[in-house]
Amino acid sequence: MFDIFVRDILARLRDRSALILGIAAPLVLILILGGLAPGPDIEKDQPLGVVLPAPPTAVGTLLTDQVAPLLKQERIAVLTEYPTQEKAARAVEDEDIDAALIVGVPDARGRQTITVLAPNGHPIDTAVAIGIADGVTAQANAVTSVVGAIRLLTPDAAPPDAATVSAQLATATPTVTVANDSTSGGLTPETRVAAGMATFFLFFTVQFGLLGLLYERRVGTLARLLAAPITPRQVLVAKLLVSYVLGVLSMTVLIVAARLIIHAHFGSPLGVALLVLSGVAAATATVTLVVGVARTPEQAGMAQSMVALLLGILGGSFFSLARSGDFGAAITRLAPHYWFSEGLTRISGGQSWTAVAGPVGVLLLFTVVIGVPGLILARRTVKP
Amino acid sequence: MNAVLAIIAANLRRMRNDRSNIFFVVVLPLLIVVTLGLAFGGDTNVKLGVVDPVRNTATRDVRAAISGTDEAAAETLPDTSRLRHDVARGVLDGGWYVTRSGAGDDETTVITWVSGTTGNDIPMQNVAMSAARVASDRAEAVRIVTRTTGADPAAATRAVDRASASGPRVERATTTVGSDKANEDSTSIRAVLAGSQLSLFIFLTSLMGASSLLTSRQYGVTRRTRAAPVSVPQIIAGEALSRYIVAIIQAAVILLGSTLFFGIDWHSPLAVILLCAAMALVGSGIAMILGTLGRSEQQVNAISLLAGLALAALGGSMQPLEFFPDVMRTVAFCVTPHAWMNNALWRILIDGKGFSAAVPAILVLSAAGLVLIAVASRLLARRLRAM
Repeated sequence: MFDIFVRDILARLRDRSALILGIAAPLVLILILGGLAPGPDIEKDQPLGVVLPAPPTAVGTLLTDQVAPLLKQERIAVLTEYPTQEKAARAVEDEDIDAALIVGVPDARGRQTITVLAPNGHPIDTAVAIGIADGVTAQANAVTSVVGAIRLLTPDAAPPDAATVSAQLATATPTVTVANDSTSGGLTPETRVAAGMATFFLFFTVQFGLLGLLYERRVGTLARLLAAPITPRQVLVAKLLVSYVLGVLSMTVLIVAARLIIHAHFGSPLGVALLVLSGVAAATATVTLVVGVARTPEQAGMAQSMVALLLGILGGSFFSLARSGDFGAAITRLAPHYWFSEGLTRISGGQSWTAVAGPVGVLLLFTVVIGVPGLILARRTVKP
Repeated sequence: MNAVLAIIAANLRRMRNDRSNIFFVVVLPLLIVVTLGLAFGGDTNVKLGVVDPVRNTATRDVRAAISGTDEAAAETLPDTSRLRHDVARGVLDGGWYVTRSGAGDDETTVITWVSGTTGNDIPMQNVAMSAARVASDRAEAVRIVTRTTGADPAAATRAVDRASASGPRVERATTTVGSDKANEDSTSIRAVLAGSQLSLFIFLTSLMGASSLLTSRQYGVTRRTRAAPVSVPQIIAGEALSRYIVAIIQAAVILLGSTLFFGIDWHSPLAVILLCAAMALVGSGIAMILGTLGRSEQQVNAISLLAGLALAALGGSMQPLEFFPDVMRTVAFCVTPHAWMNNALWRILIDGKGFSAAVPAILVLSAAGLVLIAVASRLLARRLRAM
């Protein structure tokens, strides 16, 4: 049995198809998605235009004298003044600047508008300009409120100086702040991609061991094997082991590569190991059932591709179904891919390996439910 | 011509008789339609989660500002671990949790935003930041008034609110530059996401046809056809059209299914149909090359999957091109058909452009498809003549 296992493993490691599906394809995708495209990122020193009203207004002064130096110092944006709205709009269209802030002339009732000239279809570029406009708007309105409130409460005192109030507001520590915690929502994007691609291709990789049974039966080497002092069960176990070891090897190489190359963070190594071992068992169980049902190697190969694609799509390798309500949330849980990612998510915040107990349990249950009937059927394939 | 039609009919019959092909031609595209519909159709609101044990005026204002956009639905969650889990697993598009830091006059309310994977929550994060800024400035205004006038905080708050309601206001407006209106609502963004999956799966299902050409060769069907009075160009035309018809059927199932059953609004359906047809042409060309050069079914299927998914990833089908660095975007346009289709869909669905925005992509993809089919035909002709 050991000889069959060793011979098959070595043969599969020399097989380019196995290497493509087990290592090369998922690794290429992990590198593209996880490493080279780092996700939405707001650039530094964003070039923005500004058009000020004539004569100058307090809002314009606030923008140019208080806000602009801060933006430059923090390397958020660099403001360039344009004489007219038309020239600023042309600069936006020509992509000389990312957006422009037009400070309007106050109307008869003192109302004033800051208009953000936004380029078409670039929401990320526009976000910074809108944020600046909202900040200036909020501060200008707060100055008006302070001056008005002081007049209401102390009508006989000298009215406060708006510029002083504005400076006080600008230097005050904000009482409400918004922080970004994009990395704390579970797996990092790199880890999510690595896990998704590794599990998707795992279901193709494990076929290379057990499918060999059908090829060997066709070319007659299985009959010759069984003529030797070796039982059908030993042949079946050897092929199962080949599938399982190939799956574990593929997952290990991919996880280590993702960790080293794109700095994916998987959490507790013991938790990850348990997920890999149970995930590969679930994948091997599906290929066992396929080999038990299929009559020819072509049928089995095609059926395994279907199962791999089907479970990959349902399990969220490409996009999540969990958002789509109860039905989507229920069917995505049928795929082992979902539980593998779920396990990684549960240990992503530094939790102990015991946090993967639930997902590992589901993966093992899947292995038993699919694998036992698979084994019973696959034994027919190795009957002399 | 009859010979070409006979080859097409024979190929389609052979495909129909093999049940596994029904999976790839009909079941898989239908499955894609259903999952696309579940993932991107239906409720278009941005789904957010909120953990707010603080519940002060500022946090209520932030939540009211987000609900007031009519673009988002915020659900109260019991704790941050549930919020992080649901965002990480894609149940929610994003969300925020509220904490306090400091004490007394130095007390700060911290709203921490947890971003999802889709980027759908970015506009809502901006709304939260604006509302937080207004709340912060209002609180500071009350402090200044209290300090300056000696009034108690309640009286100062009332005075600030009265002054705010009656005084001249500054407002922010947004105008899109250019003649077309940008569609940055969640319906259009979802259609773009569905479109990126459309390009991925049309190309992938087209490539999966490569093994069919290979088995034609291996079973000797092509050789037997050659023995009949049929010329090499007729065989090639028959094989190429067979692949293309199958690819078009797959594309039609995905496109029509997602439009009819899940109401995805493609804005310019004709442009999208032509883009799909051109994409299927490129996929058929590559499938023919793989089917001609491939040695075994396993090898061809492995390369088809690798090419189908790697090109899709590089071409912006798994992450929007907008998020790519400039160099990567250029590479994507040079080597993947997906970048052209995804960019054209972005211009139609988000930039609000019409049919004309898709014309360059349709032309480039059709030309690339024809060149690939010509290359495949030469390779196949060489193999057939060598028989």
